[in-house]
Amino acid sequence: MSLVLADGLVKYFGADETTRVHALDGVSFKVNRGEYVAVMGPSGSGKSTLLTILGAMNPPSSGKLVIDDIDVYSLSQEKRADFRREYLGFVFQQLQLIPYLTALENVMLPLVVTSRKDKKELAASTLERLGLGSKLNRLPSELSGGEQSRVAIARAIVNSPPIILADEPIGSLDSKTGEEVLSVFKQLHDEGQTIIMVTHNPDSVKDADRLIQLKDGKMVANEKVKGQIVLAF
Amino acid sequence: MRLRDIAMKNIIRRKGKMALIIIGLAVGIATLVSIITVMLAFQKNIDQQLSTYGFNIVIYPASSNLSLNYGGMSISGVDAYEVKSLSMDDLEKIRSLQIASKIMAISPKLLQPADIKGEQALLIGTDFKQEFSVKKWWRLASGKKPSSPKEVIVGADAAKKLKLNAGDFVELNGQKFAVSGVLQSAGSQDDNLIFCDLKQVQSLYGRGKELSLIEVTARDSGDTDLVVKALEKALPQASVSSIKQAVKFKEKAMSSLIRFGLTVSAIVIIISGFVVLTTMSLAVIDRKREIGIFRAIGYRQSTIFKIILIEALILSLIGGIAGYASGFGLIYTVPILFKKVNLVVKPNIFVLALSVGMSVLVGLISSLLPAKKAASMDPADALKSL
Ligand SMILES: Nc1ncnc2c1ncn2[C@@H]1O[C@H](COP(=O)(O)OP(=O)(O)O)[C@@H](O)[C@H]1O
Ligand SMILES: [Mg+2]
Repeated sequence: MSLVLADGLVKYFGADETTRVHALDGVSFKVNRGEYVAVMGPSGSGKSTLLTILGAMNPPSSGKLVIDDIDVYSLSQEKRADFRREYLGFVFQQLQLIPYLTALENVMLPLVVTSRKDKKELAASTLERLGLGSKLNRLPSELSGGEQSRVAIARAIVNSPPIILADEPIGSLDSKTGEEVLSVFKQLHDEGQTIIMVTHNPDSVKDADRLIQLKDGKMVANEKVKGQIVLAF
Repeated sequence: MRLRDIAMKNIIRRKGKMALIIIGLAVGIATLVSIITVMLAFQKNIDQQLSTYGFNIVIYPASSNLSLNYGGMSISGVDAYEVKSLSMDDLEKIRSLQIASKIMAISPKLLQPADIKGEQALLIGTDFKQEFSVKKWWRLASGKKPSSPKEVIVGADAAKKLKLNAGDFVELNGQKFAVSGVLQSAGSQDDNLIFCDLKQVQSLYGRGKELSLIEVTARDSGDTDLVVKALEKALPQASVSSIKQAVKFKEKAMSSLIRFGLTVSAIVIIISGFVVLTTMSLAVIDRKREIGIFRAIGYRQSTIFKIILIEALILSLIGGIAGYASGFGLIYTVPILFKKVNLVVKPNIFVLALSVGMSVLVGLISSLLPAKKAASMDPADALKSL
């Protein structure tokens, strides 16, 4: 039984049938538990749209998303927020940390709306795990780009969600720092974490199990990654 | 960390915008507070007047050239050449009335301009025994009550102006009088008068049995209207007025002024509401991404709504307190305006509570729309731009 089932996802913008933009045009795939899936495609191919749909915050125009046997978009708005908190961890490209909260507070954010007692301890240990134990009380502006990314990853995994969704998480980083951040994802994957990552960098696909390629909102490839990557677009 | 910590930290980060909200609310509340503070002080002043002068009735000639403000009324007969319309005989008429038993004291008075130490002064001939029983609120600042007709009592302002102290002597039309005492300031016409024996003033200045006014005290404030009616009937040439009426009249005049003030502050508070509304709306638009992140990591719409309202609550609590402080401070530090009215301004816990309550009400109501807007922001849309 797969963890994620995307079935004929369509997303278009605009009411007029002749002029509407099809950001996503019938995309179907499955993701198994523990799989690391990379999503690639040229700019405007619908990667981000797909990720927000998988992220339970963008209802598809048609099609179905089932995660852990839950038909996600049959849930109410508020239930979907709860679902996100329980099932998903998000890592975005940039500007994803709340600037007026410290690293520790940013990581605590998903826990604030839970009844957990060990919020601080859990957030601190998660940051420590990502090598930021000495920078808990720094504001995002006092951290390097790579450190900020790691704080964002810590925030995404702090409540141990089954799935991590990442949209070009190393897009704004230099290659060396990008490598470091990718190794964090690899480590998480090695620990059994399911990851779906949008990327435009072929190098960042090497750790993934599978590569999905999009073009003009359509899925043009969905295959196992083995050494050489063949771009289909 | 709780939601309120997130709210507080955001407030601290956006000091400028948030200060604007606080100031907006504070201005509205300050306006309200200053009006209410003056209103309360005035009400207290009126209550005080009613409780001290409330039993008193003043009888004075109906026509006049000159007048003296007496207990809020204009009293004629200061002019020595005035047609004699009140006299000692009228006292007998009053004493023989059927309602005489309802009267506690009758104090006849004669006003007489006099030249003392080269200064203009106003003498008032009076029956000391009656006067002290009519004016229960009189307190001597120094000296004692007069014990002979050749002694006078001086009002606080008059004593200051003429540099008179208890034990001094004054010359009235060539005759020597001793100052037996000086009155404490009462904030009334009495402060400017020199109280002298009635018969002495009448004979010294050749005014026969003439009187300028007669002050009557009812035994019960409930009887004043009855007594006024009887007196009007018995003395058709005179005007009869209870101080209660005069004060009530003053109250009425003031209440329309206060209504105006309250209307103005209502308008200012509505404007404050709009300031909060627009500033909050702008702040929310500013925070689109941040809100998108909150929503993405699993904050419900209702949680976002709550965060914005908590911010509004914090800001309006501060705004309410600041508004109270500045409104009260304004009224307190501009006493020049009220020196004449003799208002005593005091801090009031209920006004403080009202200010904070009002500020919170306005702050929260004005933030409902921005909070709703924030809650319904599309996280996908907010994060697309990332
Ligand atoms: N909110 C929107 N309104 C209209 N068009 C949109 C919106 N979001 C995305 N699109 C369009 O959908 C297409 C796919 O966008 P996106 O998913 O962001 O692509 P990618 O992330 O692969 O660059 C693009 O043509 C984009 O212009
Ligand atoms: Mg994108």
